[in-house]
Amino acid sequence: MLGGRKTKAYVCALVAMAAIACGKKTTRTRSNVETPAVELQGEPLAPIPDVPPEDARAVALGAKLFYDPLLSVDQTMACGSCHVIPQGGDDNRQTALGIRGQIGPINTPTVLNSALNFAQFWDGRAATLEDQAGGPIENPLEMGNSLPKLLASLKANPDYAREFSAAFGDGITERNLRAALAAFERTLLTKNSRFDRWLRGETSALATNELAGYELFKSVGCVACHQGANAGGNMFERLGVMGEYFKDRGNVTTADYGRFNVTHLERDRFAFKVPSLRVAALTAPYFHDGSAPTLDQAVRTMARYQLGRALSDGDVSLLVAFIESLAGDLPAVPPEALKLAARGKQP
Amino acid sequence: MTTTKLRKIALVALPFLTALGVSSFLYTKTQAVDLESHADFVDGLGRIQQLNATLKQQVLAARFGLLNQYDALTKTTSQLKSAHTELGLRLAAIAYRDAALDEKLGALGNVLEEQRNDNELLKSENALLKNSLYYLPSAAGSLSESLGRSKDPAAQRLVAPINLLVTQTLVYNLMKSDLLRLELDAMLAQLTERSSTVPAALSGPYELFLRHARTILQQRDVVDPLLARVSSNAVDRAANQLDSAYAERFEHAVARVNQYRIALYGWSVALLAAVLVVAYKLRQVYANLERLVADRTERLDSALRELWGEMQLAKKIQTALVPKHPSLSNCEVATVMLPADQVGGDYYDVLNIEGMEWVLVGDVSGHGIPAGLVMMMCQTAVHTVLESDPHIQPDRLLSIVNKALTENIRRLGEDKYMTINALCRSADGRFYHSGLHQDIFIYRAKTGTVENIESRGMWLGVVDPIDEHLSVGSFVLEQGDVLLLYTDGITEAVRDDGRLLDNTGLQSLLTQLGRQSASGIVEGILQGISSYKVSDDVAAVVVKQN
Repeated sequence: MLGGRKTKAYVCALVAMAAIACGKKTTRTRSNVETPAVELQGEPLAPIPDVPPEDARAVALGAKLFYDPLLSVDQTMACGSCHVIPQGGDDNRQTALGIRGQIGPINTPTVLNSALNFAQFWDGRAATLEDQAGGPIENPLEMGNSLPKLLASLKANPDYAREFSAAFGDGITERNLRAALAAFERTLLTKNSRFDRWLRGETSALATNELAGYELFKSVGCVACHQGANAGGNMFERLGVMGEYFKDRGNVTTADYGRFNVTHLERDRFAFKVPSLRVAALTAPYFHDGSAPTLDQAVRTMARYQLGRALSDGDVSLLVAFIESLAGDLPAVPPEALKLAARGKQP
Repeated sequence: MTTTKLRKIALVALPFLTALGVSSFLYTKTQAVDLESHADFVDGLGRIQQLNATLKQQVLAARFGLLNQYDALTKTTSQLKSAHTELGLRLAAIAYRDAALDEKLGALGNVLEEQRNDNELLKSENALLKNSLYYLPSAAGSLSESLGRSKDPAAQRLVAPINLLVTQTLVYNLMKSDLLRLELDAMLAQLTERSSTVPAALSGPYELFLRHARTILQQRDVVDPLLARVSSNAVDRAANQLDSAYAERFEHAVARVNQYRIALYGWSVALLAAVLVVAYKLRQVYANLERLVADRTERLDSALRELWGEMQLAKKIQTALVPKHPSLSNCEVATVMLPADQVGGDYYDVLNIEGMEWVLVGDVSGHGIPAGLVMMMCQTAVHTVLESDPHIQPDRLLSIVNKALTENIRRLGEDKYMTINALCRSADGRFYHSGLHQDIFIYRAKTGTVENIESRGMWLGVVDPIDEHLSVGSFVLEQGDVLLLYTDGITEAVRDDGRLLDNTGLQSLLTQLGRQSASGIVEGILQGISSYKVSDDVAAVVVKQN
């Protein structure tokens, strides 16, 4: 039996190698301008994939919860208060603003395409969206609530009781709360970007400068970290590998320790999840500390501290143009968001 | 329910329940190895080994530029983690799992976690290596171009070593060699020393170029050990250890199951044998029972035959005791005695002793041997008394016979009595009669009518003495007159409509038959009741005066 398994593994490996070999071949033909309209393979970036559809009832419930200020202890904030979809799924603030005007220590990451991240939060402390869901609710600087208290509030609401039962059968539980929020968040993908269309063979989808930006993106080494379908979000990297980022910035805080706060390994000090560049055009300011007010500035900082070089203004604008081509269609904003906006608690 | 009944039920139920219990226990034990759970576990472990092999391929591909994004690698890592969690669930479903297996599963989990951590670090460090690898040739290109255009020969002389450093660094990236590394370190040291010869405008790019070259050398030494760790056999080893530990327990469990299966087979055979033995025993018991029943039946039959023999004898005696050719002087006499199925108690006799002629008719109550015995006693007593005193009066005769009968019936303990008419014809031809029995019928030829003489007296065998109850009556038969004496077997014959023949019926029958001969009258009476149901002895004596 073991022999059989080994054979299977061997065959799988052969298939994988063959696939890699095929990819390589496509890469070589890609430089040809006359590329036929077929999806490009072997590129370090991939189009946002199609994901299995979520249960519609769970998604609707998740959307309702996402925009319900009931989730915060003083009922002033919803998830949607900080993760504003039309603004790029974040709050466009340097660091988060929580209940009672409290300022958080770290920049709010976008909720868009977060399903494609291999871990959640800047330090990757949550493996899944479900794991992540409880974090902001119970963070005293954010929503300041407690899950048991929140569950009690939800149970007091007959609409929620009905909707939870319809979506999950066993009603209002912490597990189902997390599952509903995660189900909604998994639908928040920005598909159909010009870059993705180009990857799928639509050669006219990218302008010349954007294409040049992409070539530069690969050749200067950005792509070493920002790769995959999410143009990032699938690895950790230390900030300041080619320069003393924190020394130059000064005023180091615990939040700056990044992944170290999770693993307590020295090698992880100042390491962060490489953020996705998918909607970077919309999510200024940048980095975990929100220190780069513009994309232009962010590109320069990255080149200096991560790639160890200075980029010309032309190169920077090409890269920015390319990064802007990564943003696809923003997900439709659920009607609940409008109600939230009407109550003056952020759209 | 009585204790005995409970004990009987327990005697049957206990062995049955024990057999059922043992069978269930053995059967449960034979089901201890669930092949589906086993297949699930083996499959789950196989999946981990497969994913691990894929992961190893992917990290190698990522390191050497065949895989230029980490999505696939990230997916495999996350699948490996879930596969391990799933394997834990599958192991939990296995009956023969033990702490050692859990520990091996935990060990595999730890190795996978280490691999995952190493893999994350590898991705980070490899990104730095790749970044410099991407950049070094283009940095060298633009630097060489600028230096080549320089008017300073010292600066121009830097072009060749810069290009050599790039080439050798790229070679070193792919092929680890300590000698090459020493050469590269020396080249880097030389180029660093020659920084002063670089024109001020190019000093920045020059320093950057050297820095990336150093990064490649440094990162290669970081990345490759990590690569070696991620693609080491640690996971395979842990998986194999779990696999062989599991296989050992599986085989052991299968062996045990087989033992229990054999035991179950043995037990089934034993049960079957027990059933056969019980069936055989039951057959024996039934055979004995049948033999016993046959024996009893045989004995009963023979007893019955004996009894019947006795009965026949008694019957024979009864009929033998009545006179064969009864006769009275100047008279025609005809008699009949038809005993019923059993021995009856009817009695008649016709005697001629010393010129005295006696006619007696009687009936003992009931049937069977006792009635027959009483009848015989009566007959014997009558003969004895008449032999000794032929001229005795009929009432005296009955008184003496009653004495003997009463005493004997008392001794027998039987509740019997006897009705009787004793008639004696004296020398003058007059009949004297005594005793209580049926009415005496006399057909008078002169008038063609039947005269009815009521008998008076007392039954024999009830009390003693009976003298005061007895009286003597008399009558004379003229020529052609007929005397009819009979028992109640005739008068109590039943017609189809349920009516008895009765005295009246017999009287009118005699009226019709009176002119016929004695035997003709007997035949006529029998003919007359032939359509009646007769359930008692029938006896009659007909005397016709010539």
